[in-house]
Amino acid sequence: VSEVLEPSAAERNRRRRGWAATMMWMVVLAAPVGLTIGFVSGYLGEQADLPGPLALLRDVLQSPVFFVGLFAALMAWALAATLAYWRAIDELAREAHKRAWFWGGSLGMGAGLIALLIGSEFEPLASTTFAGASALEHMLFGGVFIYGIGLIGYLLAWAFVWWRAR
Amino acid sequence: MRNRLRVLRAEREWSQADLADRLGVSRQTVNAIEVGKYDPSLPLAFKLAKVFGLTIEQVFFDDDDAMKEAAE
Repeated sequence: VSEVLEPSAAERNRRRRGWAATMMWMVVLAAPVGLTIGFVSGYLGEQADLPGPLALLRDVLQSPVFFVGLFAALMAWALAATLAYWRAIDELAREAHKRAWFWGGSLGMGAGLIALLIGSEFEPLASTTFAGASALEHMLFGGVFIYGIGLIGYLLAWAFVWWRAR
Repeated sequence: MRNRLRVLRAEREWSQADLADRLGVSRQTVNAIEVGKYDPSLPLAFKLAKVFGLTIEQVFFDDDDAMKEAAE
């Protein structure tokens, strides 16, 4: 029994949860940082005459290498944070995520796909909203839309599963 | 599946949080197991039994078995 009763085990769990929470918050905080970078990049891009350092900053912010590098770094961080979070939570919390992805995520993405198919047949929406959009823009919208609806379904299912288990 | 967690906890005067700390899980998980909303994994069931110094069968039991015992 003493092996299980070790007070340090509870303390270790608390520390692990704290570390995971910190990493997850840093991922969440990446959103306003990304918005700021996008705003600064857009603003500098519209200025005609920029002094040397600001022109350099604009060139860096708008370069594909910076864009891809930033996304790759953020994805790597998000993956590490998710791993830390997954290790920190207990089996009931993991079960809630699994059920939420299975039911909410898959049903949500299915609903998103059906909504897109219906929307593409609905004439005013199809001909005006996306008039002039390139094939790549259509594809991007479709991907983000389906994933977004899937995410909403997942969050709703997770909240329901967690509420029922409490 | 049913269990005797509430009784076993009460005998030792442990709160759900106390038991959760000993198991390394959240209080919500202990509560969900206790009220029968969640059946724990085998490793957690073993850990639970070990915390109380009992076997798994002394902590958890099947609904059918409970009904048979009640009938007897």
